[in-house]
Amino acid sequence: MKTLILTLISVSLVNNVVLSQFLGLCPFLGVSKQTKTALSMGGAVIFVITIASAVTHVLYRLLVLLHVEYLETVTFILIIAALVQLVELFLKKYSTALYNALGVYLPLITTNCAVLGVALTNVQNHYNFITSVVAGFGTALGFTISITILAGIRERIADNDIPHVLQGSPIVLITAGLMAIAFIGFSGLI
Amino acid sequence: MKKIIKDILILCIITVICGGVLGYVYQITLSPIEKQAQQSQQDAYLEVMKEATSFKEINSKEINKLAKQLKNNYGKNGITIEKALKSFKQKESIGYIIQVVDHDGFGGDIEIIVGINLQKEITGVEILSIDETVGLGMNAKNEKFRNQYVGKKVDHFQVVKNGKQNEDEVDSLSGATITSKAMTNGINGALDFYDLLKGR
Amino acid sequence: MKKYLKPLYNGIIKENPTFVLMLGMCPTLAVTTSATNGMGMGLTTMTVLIMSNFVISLLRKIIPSRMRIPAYIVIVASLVTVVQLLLQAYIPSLYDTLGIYIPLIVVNCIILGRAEAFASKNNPLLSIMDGLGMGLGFTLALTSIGLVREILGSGTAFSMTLPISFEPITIFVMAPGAFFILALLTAIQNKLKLPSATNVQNSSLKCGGDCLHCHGSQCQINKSLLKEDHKK
Repeated sequence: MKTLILTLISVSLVNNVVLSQFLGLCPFLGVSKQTKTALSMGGAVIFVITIASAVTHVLYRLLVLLHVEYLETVTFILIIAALVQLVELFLKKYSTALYNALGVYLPLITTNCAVLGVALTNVQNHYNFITSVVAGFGTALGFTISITILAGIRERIADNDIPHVLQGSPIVLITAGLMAIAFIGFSGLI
Repeated sequence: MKKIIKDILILCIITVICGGVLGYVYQITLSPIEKQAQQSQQDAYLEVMKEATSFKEINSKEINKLAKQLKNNYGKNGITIEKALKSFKQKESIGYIIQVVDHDGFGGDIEIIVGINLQKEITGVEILSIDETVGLGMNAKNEKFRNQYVGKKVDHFQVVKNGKQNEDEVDSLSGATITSKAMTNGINGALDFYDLLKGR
Repeated sequence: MKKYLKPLYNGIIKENPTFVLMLGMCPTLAVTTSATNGMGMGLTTMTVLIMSNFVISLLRKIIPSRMRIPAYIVIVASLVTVVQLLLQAYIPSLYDTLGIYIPLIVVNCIILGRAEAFASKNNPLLSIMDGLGMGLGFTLALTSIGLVREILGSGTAFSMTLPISFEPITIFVMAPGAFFILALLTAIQNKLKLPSATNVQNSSLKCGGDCLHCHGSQCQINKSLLKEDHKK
């Protein structure tokens, strides 16, 4: 239990997926204009990454069994793409509310490198099933935390008087950089 | 309907061909990859004990048995002794090389090998795998940090922050105390294990 | 002849994937802690890009249009694994430094983007030239970003000590430095009004900018999202 909690803190805050691993930057910078959309995106990412970590873990066991570990990249990316489609269909049919909230963001996630990144990291670290799922969930949680904070800051500075050259992406990137510095502060946590 | 089946068939054929090519490349790279791994290991051994001409690995069962006798505390998650080798110059034994993993690194495990000669002097420290913060913990790879251990003959090292004064003290890397402590714990573990090896 | 040289100019200068299209930002920021690392990543990506452009262009008449995205993904992922195995066998030092970012080349927008936008419409030779041009542009960009970060952050260039000595600003080789360097780059582009995906009109950082020139799977979805945003 203790190691699970430590894993959760480590992957969500200390080794934050966007701010220190640089995975999933496109949605991080692209879908962070409003807190509300950022939160929905985060929700969708949590949903997909948690399921994907579980599925890829089982799949990797199968690959090991067949002695074809080198097929991991190919199978993982295909399984993730198929999984996202399935989740989308499933939500559409059974939970309209959830589909309306997350639906549009789901396809965005297929080629989000964070999903594949988490699956590969889990394998690399030889995590067992439960740790894989917790690590996946934690990573996605870290993504949600950072994208929501960035969106909050962007909402605040939207009407500020920003020097002309820094308008647009430079100021967003500077904000992200300052957040990354702040997140380094978590390093003493564990 | 017919078109769908045809499309799927083409996709399947592409996938099967890709899989076949991958399998082939895997087969031909298998032995170079193994050779490469052995080579880099051998290079690292020579790096920590420059005078050695040959190495003899100590039985892993014996290592596990001896490792259980390590009583000291090496940080929260402790250390694991991976391997130990007796090293020889021509036929004469000149010391031991101990490969140890410390589990308390900032980014996870740090795998190091330590060469210790028969006078219990450290002849070299090399890092096999490390995943610390770039610019801070990663500086453990720099010779300046690692050389603090080399040539010393002490029981245990200690990490200090305000400039080392004694033989058994090492300066912490700035901004990376956790990494410095993990490295030092690993080396202390190797020193203790050396005593066990000699005493067996 | 001129026809075959145009993709080179296009990839390196006019539509440089990093400086102009702002694609593949994840590896750009993650591995550019030194010039050598940036160059290694650039060359690895270039190898994959040339091969994938070639294969996809060869198969462009066979791959059914509805099945093309999964087919591209399978081909690209296989090629990436081939390159990964070769690196592990013959250039282990590069394999170790790039680590997880090698398999992640699969989801690099540049690869799928070029497959869709160029290789699926042009002959194999032209597609190879396009891969070479885009790959060189990417390599050039990553090497120069890596060089700037290395000089500022470690006080070295290509691992060699500089003739002038100063206290390095360590933050530039750490994670926040990557964001600052990119902020600086885009600010300079703004100032000089250089064409770039981040400062054209109606720009959004989605997919690293407007997806005008990128037609990869993710970008198309992004495009439709942008449209929906627009309607609201």
